[in-house]
Amino acid sequence: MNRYVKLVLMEMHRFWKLYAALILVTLVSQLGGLYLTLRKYMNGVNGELTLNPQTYTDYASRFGKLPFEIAMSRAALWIFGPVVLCIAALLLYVFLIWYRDWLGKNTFAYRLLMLPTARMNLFWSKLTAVITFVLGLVALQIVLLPVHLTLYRTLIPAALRPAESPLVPFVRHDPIFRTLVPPTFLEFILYYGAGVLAVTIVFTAILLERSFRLKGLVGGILYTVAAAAILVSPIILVTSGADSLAIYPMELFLLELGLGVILLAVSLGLSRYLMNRKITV
Amino acid sequence: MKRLWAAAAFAVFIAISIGTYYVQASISRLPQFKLVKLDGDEAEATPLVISAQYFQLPYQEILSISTKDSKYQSESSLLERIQGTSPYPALTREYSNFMRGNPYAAQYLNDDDFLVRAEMETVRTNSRDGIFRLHVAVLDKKTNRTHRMVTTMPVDGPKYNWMRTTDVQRAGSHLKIAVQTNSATPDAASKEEQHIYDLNISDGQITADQNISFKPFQRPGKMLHTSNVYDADSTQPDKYLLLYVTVNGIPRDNGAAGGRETAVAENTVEQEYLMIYHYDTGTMDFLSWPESKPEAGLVNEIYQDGEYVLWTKMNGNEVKLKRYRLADNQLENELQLKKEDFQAESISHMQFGKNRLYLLLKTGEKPRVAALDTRDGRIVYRGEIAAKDSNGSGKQQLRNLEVHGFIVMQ
Repeated sequence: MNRYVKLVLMEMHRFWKLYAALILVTLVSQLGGLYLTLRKYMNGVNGELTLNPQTYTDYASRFGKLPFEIAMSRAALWIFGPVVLCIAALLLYVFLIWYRDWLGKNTFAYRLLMLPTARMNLFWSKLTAVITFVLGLVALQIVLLPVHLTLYRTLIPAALRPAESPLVPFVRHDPIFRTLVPPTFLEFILYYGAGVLAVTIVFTAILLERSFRLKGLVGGILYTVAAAAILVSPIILVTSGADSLAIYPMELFLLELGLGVILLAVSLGLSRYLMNRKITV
Repeated sequence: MKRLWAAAAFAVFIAISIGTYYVQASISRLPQFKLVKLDGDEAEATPLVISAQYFQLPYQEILSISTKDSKYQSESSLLERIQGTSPYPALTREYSNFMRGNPYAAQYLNDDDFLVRAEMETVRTNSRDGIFRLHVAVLDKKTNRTHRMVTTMPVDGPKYNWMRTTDVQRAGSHLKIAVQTNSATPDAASKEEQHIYDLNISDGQITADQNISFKPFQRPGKMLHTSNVYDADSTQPDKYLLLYVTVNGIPRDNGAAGGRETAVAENTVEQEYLMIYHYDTGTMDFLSWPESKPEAGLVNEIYQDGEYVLWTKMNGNEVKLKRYRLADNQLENELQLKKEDFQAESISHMQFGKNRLYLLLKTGEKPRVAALDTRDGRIVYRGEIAAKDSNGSGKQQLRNLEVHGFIVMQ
């Protein structure tokens, strides 16, 4: 088994307890929250039917049905709360994955840097671990949606719900799910590719800080700001109507794509240089 | 080894879940519709694109329907959304470098020798006044060279609130650029003017400024409002500039908070004219709808169809159309069509094409379309929107469909 895979497994192993906790919180909050929301709705319906005896069909014709999307929006805090928690945890983990090697009682970074393998494998393994954890949570969310739908169908009688509750239109229209799972696979690649670029830039900034300490911290912040400015400036110039950048939307898209690839290459090159020549424990 | 298997299983879980979702998303289609022929020539409806909304509660999906199929906004690809639409797709394809910039802010002329772009830039000096710069670009199609000119508009006349280009035509080595202006007069009634500037292509200098007089329409205590007449292909050389002129009562401030806005909203059109400016002679004529006062509740649409102008008025029950010859302002023919002529509950929208008037009709559950020859009123096409799924669910799908309007693709 090569060194890179071993390092990835090590990084995943070091985070798995916290990651499992995040998954557990997501499962309990989303399923439990949706269950409580649907029970509350049914209690309201049954209470009304006790006071005014009638069928579910009569109730639906008077008060309307409860579509799956409305049920999910009523349980929004339970559904999206853990999503936000997971995003926050993974954002923190982007920094933690490097700094915990340096901080603490033992400087674990010293042992990692002394391994008889290319130092960039450390960088790649950490990047792979972050990407895997992000995609793992996205996959969990995709798998959970049919479970939510089944729970909804189990608790809400057929007379009180629409005949069809397709999941794909729900994901396409919901602002949070639409962001997590973009409408097309090409957008999925582009959005998560932009995420990989962002993580790479932050990793480079962290390596600058670890290499040059306070000066590196300033350099890292400047590097991150400069990278963001390079990516955003063509969009600002085009939307402000500047004649100097009268380009077509497709050209702007390709320009952004090109800038992204260049920034990725620069970040990886700089990171490689810092890892091989400058980083200290 | 155990860790490796766990990690591999996790990777497979990620790939299968995300992959399955995108496979399902690509095969999950919203209901499909199309425009089908009832009678007439199918080709007549080819340029029609009907805009609609499909209600799949709690969502509303925006879609367009043609004779071939329907296309939902939410199902459009990323590249389609990035590309967007251009008001001049053919020119953008052929002269992509020259057509850079915001095409909605400019006027274009596309003749055999040149492609011309005229655009007004506003540099605000304060909230009311401004300096206006006319940007003109001329592409010589033979040499493929572009000549760009910037001219600051003369300021010795009245101070203008805004200026915008409304048309550009060529007369030999000069360009005729129609510019609409608006200046605030002391009585607070805004004053619109239409200028025709003569610009020398070789040096970019303005050699003449003809202020088209609206005196024949001016009445004491009344305000004029002008707007351009829709021309399906405004980039083609044209001998005429058409303006729709309305005489409105001046709004009075009732003193209440926001009173002016209230008064403006209550402002009514008292008289209306169609003004025809002849570029070759620099003279103008005008046409008026026979009724002395515009009828309430009628939608007014004017359309230039080459050497003719169609002036139509429509409500849900009928359409009145007058077709004038521009060369001598003579009425060529007129039509009056009622909803019963189409076995429709009401007439909801109309659009124009070359010698064609298209009507969108409400008839029970299936919205219909009719195309008429504007020269003789003959119905050349009738069609209706149908669900591609022709079984029971198709009927429900049609009930969930709400048609908003339509356009004619040129």
